Amino acid sequence: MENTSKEAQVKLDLSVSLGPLRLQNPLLLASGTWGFGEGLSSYLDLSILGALVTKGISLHPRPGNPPPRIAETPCGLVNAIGLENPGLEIFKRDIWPRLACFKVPLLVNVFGQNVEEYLAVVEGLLETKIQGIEVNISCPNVKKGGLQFGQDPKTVALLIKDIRDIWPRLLVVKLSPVGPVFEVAESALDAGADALTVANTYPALVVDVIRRKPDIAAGFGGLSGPAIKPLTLRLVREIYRRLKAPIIGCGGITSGQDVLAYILAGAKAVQIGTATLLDPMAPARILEEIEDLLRQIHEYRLAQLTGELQD
Amino acid sequence: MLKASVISQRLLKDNFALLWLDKTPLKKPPRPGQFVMLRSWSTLEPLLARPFSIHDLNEKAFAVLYQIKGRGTSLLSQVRRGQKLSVLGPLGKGFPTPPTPKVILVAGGIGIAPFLFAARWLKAQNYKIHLFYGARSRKDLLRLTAFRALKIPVTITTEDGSAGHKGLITTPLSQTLKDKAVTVFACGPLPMLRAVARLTQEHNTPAYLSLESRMACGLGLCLGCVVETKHGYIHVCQEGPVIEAANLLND
Ligand SMILES: Cc1cc2nc3c(=O)[nH]c(=O)nc-3n(C[C@H](O)[C@H](O)[C@H](O)COP(=O)(O)OP(=O)(O)OC[C@H]3O[C@@H](n4cnc5c(N)ncnc54)[C@H](O)[C@@H]3O)c2cc1C
Ligand SMILES: Cc1cc2nc3c(=O)[nH]c(=O)nc-3n(C[C@H](O)[C@H](O)[C@H](O)COP(=O)(O)O)c2cc1C
Ligand code: FES
Repeated sequence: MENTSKEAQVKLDLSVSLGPLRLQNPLLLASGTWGFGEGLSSYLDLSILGALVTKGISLHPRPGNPPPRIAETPCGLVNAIGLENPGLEIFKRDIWPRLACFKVPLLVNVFGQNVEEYLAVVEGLLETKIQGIEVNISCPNVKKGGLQFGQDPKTVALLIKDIRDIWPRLLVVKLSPVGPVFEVAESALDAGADALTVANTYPALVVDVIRRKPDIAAGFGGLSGPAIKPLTLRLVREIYRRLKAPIIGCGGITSGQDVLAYILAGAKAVQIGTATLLDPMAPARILEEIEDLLRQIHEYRLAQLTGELQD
Repeated sequence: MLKASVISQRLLKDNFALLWLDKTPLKKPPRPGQFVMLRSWSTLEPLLARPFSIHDLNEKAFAVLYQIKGRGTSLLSQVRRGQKLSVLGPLGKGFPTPPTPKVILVAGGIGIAPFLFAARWLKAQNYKIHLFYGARSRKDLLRLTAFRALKIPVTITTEDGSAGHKGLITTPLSQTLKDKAVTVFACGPLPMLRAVARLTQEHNTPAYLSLESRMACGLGLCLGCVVETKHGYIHVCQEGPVIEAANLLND
């Protein structure tokens, strides 16, 4: 391109607003794909990101599922980690103080087996200075015979309303991509969610034909990675059209192109998950690619592009 | 990941390869038993990088020795001198400094991979070393010349009797454990590791095993790589791949 040197001097504005927060750029690290920063921080400067979303935290520690927990599929990864996590108390005592050093807004991903557990975690987090929570509703509801919270718009409405009553900071609800997605999205917003993460992994099965068994010990797992990108992109588009909701797009992003596709479809921000597992330096590369692309299309304010897909 | 230039790649026997890579991208000096994640393809398919033990090391380069098994390793076997591939490492916990002056290395099949580096490292610290090497057949025995050049005694067994004694490597191993104060390092298939754990515990021999598990990241990000031990799940890429034999579950 001509003019590159001149254009390189134009300052890009990648910042986006999310509820009460202003993020320096739209890139978040997705829950469960960056540990708690330990291994990652020697390869990636976490302070370049817009925000971080932690691994799901529950009231009590959970050991997670037996192995094998992961299987590779065409352009995808199926996982059933089983929400392994150290629990609320250890998170507050040992992990949060360390994450606070990264100087990036932190969202804690929260889940429970019933409404009381969700509320207990959220209440415990009030004592920390975390900037927001992301409520994972793709989680079996013990009181409803294991049906996921996220499959039932009424339960979601009650859960999110109760959380909203006690949590004044940023409240994001992370949707499951299957089930009555639009109804659930609407209930979450009506109950007071500031934004929606669209979406979690897709329920999936991998078969070991020799052993005649699922290739993951837990049976089913969740599909992530480039394989799901077009599916989740369509969900973002539909939810944006129907509800004009603030959306954090999440599914299969591996490049700056992918990020812009999500933003044009209607996302304000995005999360990078599997891409960081493939290469811990990927988020930094993706950020550079976004900047290059914006210069190429002569757009200097990223936030202006949300929903600008011409269809 | 960081880029590493291929210094050489040589196919060995029917389906193995020895790959030397520029070691500049390694984040720190590796320890034997540590591994790297490698990918030699720039496409998203296959999706994941693959884990390999560090097989050998010199001033400029490190080597991996691998079996060509599926798609990832076939693609890897096609790279040639001068090409670049992506590397992450060294990763995980390697073998500890042995508490006895004599060390027995027990390799099963491609489990030989970490032991040339381990042997050089131990020799440099004046440990006495003996290699016990079990394989399916003669054509699966790798790098014997390199071990012999280090003047290390090698005991070989093959399951079909085509080289060394016919049978499993644990048979001659159990004889040696009877009368010596030694440390054992083992790498190979899980049934062999379990047998080594049993034998070394019977003889109160300090022993360390290198485990495998499916890995997505190799870096503690995904929590996908657990194996169950006597102390619950461990993440092989972080708390392993080398663990104390006493921690391995019995079955
Ligand atoms: C810490 C560690 C060190 C290793 N060191 C060596 C080595 O030095 N030399 C060597 O030949 N092999 C080694 N392996 C095994 C090697 O990683 C696999 O053989 C390789 O990943 C197979 O990839 P593929 O695409 O050819 O096979 P495919 O069967 O097509 O692989 C499919 C998927 O299964 C995974 N997978 C398959 N086999 C294994 C296995 N045995 N262990 C873990 N994941 C597996 C792959 O990574 C991939 O995600 C090591 C494994 C680990 C965990
Ligand atoms: C190994 C792994 C662990 C995950 N753990 C969680 C989790 O604890 N909570 C959650 O809400 N989502 C979890 N996810 C889902 C991701 O946050 C993300 O929504 C999903 O992977 C889709 O994005 P991607 O295609 O960019 O990976 C996990 C995903 C992976 C691959
Ligand atoms: S391979 Fe991802 S945590 Fe070990």
